[in-house]
Amino acid sequence: MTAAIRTDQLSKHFFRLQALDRLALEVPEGAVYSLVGPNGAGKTTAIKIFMNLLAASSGQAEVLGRDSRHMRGKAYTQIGYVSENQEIPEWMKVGALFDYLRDFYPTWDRDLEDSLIKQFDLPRDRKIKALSRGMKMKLALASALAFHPKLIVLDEPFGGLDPLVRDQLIEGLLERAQEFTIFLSSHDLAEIESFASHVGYLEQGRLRFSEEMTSLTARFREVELTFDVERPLPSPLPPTWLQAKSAGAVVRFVETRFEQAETEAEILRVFGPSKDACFRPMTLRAIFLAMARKSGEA
Amino acid sequence: MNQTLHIFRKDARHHWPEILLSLVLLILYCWKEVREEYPERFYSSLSIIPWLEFVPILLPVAWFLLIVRLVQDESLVGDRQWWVTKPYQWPSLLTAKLLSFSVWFCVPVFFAQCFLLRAAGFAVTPHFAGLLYNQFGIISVVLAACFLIACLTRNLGHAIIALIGLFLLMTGFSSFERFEPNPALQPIQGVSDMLSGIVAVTASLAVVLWQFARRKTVHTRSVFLAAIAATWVIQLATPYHALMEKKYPVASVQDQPFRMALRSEPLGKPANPPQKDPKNIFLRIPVEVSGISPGNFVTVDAQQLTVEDSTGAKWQEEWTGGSGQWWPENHSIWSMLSVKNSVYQKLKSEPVKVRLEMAVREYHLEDPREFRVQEGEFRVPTLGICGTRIPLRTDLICRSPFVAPPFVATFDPASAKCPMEPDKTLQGSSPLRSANLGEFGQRSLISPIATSNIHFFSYLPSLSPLNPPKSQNICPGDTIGLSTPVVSRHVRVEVLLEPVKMEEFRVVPAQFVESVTVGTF
Repeated sequence: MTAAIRTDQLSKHFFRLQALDRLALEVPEGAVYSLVGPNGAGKTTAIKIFMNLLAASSGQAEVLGRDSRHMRGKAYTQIGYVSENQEIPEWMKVGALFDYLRDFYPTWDRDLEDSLIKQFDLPRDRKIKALSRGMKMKLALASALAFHPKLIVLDEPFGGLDPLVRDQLIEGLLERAQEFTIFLSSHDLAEIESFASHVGYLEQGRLRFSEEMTSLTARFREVELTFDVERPLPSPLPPTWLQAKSAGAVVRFVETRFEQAETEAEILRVFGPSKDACFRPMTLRAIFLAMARKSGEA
Repeated sequence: MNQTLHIFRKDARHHWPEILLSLVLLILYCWKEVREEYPERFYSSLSIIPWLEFVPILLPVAWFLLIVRLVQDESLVGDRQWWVTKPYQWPSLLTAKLLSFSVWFCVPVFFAQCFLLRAAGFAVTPHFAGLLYNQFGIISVVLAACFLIACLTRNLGHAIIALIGLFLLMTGFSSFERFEPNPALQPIQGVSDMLSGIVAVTASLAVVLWQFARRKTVHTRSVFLAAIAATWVIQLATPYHALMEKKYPVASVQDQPFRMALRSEPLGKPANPPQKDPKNIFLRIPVEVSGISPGNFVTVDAQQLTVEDSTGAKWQEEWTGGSGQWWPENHSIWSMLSVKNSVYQKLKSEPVKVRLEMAVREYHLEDPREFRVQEGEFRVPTLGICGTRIPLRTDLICRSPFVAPPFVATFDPASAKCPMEPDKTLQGSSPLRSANLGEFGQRSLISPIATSNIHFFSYLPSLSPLNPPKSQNICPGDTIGLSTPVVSRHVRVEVLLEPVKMEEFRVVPAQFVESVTVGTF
């Protein structure tokens, strides 16, 4: 599978602040890739480098097979970019914006434009500055979808939106997700869990992991062991176990490399036989909290 | 091209208020100009609205606003602009902006100039090339400066701050006296001005193209500031004195274009008490200038004074600006000099040698011709359209397209049709002269009309700084001679005046200024 976005040792620093540290990322074509991480992790910086809005300090990024440093002009006819920070020309009316944009894209689909305007309830004759934040995001997304892009890049698209608008946006995206690759950044894990096919976790400029959602959720488990008597935590614990805690006869931890048989064998080796062992699947939120706490402890 | 027109149309739709404002102000400017310059033809019963006086100030402000807003509709600074991730082709964007400036700025100014040219009595067609050339001047002054600022700033507020900052920077530098070249050396500033111009134009083009193509604001701002610094360095590093010596080679005694000798004429007591402990002392030394060849005349561009005492010790002053025109007939004039107070105090009462080095231009008069003054306005070949201002008849004001040509006008007061008052009747046979040696430019950036003034001073026998010359009337029927001054050479002339007792020639600054004003030297 070819990559829609690929980075190699991508770094960016602002004076002494290291915003991105040797980022190595690959977004497969057709994926819905979500780059998550806390505020200030470097998500927006990475996206700005992909879109050639910022220059990398070192390393390189390729977007749709093109060096991101050469992203300009015609290259944007294949990419739809939506950011919460974008300054849309607010003096225009909604219809005028579409009229204006139409001539820039050879692949602009007038029927799709009409359908998106209808789907997102966008008022053609209203000035953009009179629109709510949610409406502006819908407008930006509609304008980014109407030309059948190969790649949609969304930078914190759902931040501060009410659930209804968020669902409308996600629905609008997913209806056409088979047409393009979606790359989005977010710090709201619940909203991406339902539709992301791949996920990357960025923290302090470093990519902690990047993998398919199914693989991620499959390898994380919250393990709860019940023993007959109080069982203190031995030291050292296997490195794949996080947040291990002992409360009387109960031991809990997060297994980051869950394989039923192997995990059970490891538990037996560390603790001996247990009365009961429970392996609970984890939400994306729980996984990231565990990861974040681990790095916090480190 | 489609994208260019597409962006152009969008800009026109968005910025019609700014476009309309600049067009209205341009129309008002033209109206004001013709009402003031040709009230007899453009009289209007409407009273002049007081704020019309502000139009010449408001018009450049409106242009600045228009240009900055147009450029910054697709701001080149920052990374949040919506347009930067859209498939804009930068050459199309740049062309669209230039097209907007052509349509909303250059074309209206061009038509305004055509109108002003017609209003001044000149046909447009013969001056078409001049009008186009004039556009180049306006574009390079107004458009380029505003365009550059707009390219390097994020919004109008930043652009205004940048403009003010730039203005303060330039003012601060030019007022930093010790860095500024001596005004007397301006005749040879052409080299540094040319170099600075090349740097400024190259840097401006580089900044605009780079910024449009890559939006590397930090880099382009650095280039912009470096170019400003480079022009300063060029101004500072120019070897003005060497250039002066090269441009004005020393003339041998036989080859000097004139002679100058001390004239015995006591100055009398100063009119005002001298200033206490001044930095410089002003001297007014009576001299006789002679030996200028017929058909020639001389102007002094700069002068340098050296005082030498009886022991041979010398004190040299800086080069200072010169003034005055000397003609073939002998001149009894005052040489206006300034020496440091310390030198003056040391040597004031002893006879010293005053060595005066002058950078002079010798002119030769060519193409002599005459014209007769007529009632009202009349055409004079090469000068344009001339007329006297009634009731004041001392000035013959001529207007011509784009530049007023250099000329020397001569008048024989004995043949005056409207002589001056009897007590001011001229004596002697010297002709009166009025010279325009430089090429005077247009009245303003917009007006394509340049004006020159013919004004004859009557040189009375008792002329002195306290008895200034009177103006000669110019009336219909008077015949005025006209010739074209051509620089035949630049030379440096050294004159030795001795013995000079400086305290005998000291004047107070007011007298010095007064003397310079009446044009003695």
